[in-house]
Amino acid sequence: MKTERYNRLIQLEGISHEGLEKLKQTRIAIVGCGTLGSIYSLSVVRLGVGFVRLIDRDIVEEHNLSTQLLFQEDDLDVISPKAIIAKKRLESINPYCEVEACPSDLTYKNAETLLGNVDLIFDATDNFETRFLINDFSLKYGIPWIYTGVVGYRGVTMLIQPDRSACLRCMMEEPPETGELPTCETEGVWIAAAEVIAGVGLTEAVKLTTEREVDSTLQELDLDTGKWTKIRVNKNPDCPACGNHDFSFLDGHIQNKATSLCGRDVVHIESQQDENLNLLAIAERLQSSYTVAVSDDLLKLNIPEGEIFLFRDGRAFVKGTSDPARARALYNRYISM
Amino acid sequence: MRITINGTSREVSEDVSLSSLLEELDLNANTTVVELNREVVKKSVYPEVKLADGDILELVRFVGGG
Repeated sequence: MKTERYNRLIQLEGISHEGLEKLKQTRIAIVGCGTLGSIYSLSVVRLGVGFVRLIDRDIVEEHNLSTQLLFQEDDLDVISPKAIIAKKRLESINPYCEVEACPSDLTYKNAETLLGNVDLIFDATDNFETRFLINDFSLKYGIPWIYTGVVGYRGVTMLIQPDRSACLRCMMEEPPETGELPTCETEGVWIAAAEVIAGVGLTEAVKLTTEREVDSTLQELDLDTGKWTKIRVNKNPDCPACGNHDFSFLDGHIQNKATSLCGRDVVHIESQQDENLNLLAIAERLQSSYTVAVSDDLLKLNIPEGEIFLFRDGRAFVKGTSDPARARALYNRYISM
Repeated sequence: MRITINGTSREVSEDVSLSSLLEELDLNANTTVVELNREVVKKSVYPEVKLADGDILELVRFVGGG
């Protein structure tokens, strides 16, 4: 196997050719193509990981450009979901890594499909409901995952090994209430905090993949104070998830609306059933009256009230309001047939 | 009395409970993991745990953004 590309990787203590081969055999899912997802995905394709599945429900926006390394200025004019733009960028970096793009919202209905057939999951999400869903999946199917979060100058991460370490629900009984935690909108994101904490998460993931000893502690890095805190958390025997095998999030019993912790003036409208819309046909219908831009995967409609982005799976973003009822009304008025 | 929180020394009142301290620090028990003298404290007992002079606390606050 050609290894000139990976020379600087295989020279590393604990990696070498054997480690490179293990990375090549590894299948990874990355949930989220934002700040953390950018760092994780750009890194793993450079490491020669065999397969990466990107799951992201979003579109590229201007404020992404200060923190999200995957995206650039001209992506703002591309009519495409983030996951698809990311896939193209990653393929241009390493065409030998197979990249699958899923421009979807990860829910209990599709989790078994979207997280299936991978060896490791990177959490690069922006809300806890999705993290609890990943946690349930991890426990049910024995797949390790790297919990990661960042806001302001602080990043937190932990390699969660379902059979060994505490799981997310051992440490946090339930998702936080809306407003309980700071958001990227209110506190901002320091790009270096994301780079550093994702660096820690990535290092743990690669140690696991190359069968070296892992840390598996809960780690917090605060770049403002310079403090690195590590806490070893053992499994909680009373944990509803790993103690009692109660997978309420994966079973759909708990279905809190995934409020984005990096939210802004936009409402996400879920798809009622798994659709496969012909966006080009919908665009044809609309363009006599409105300004429409379209591709196979995304339709962008300019309306007096703002914008509507429609995805092939039937999901939509309505920009220009933060009121779900108003957003639904706009969607019905312009899109529903 | 003095305790250490994440490596920083801090003056706190005698007999303060862990849950009162978290409130004072504006921290939420659900989203904070607390290690007291190298042992993780179960959340259900936060109100009963009384801190003592010289106690060493490590706290991690969960973060949700990404």
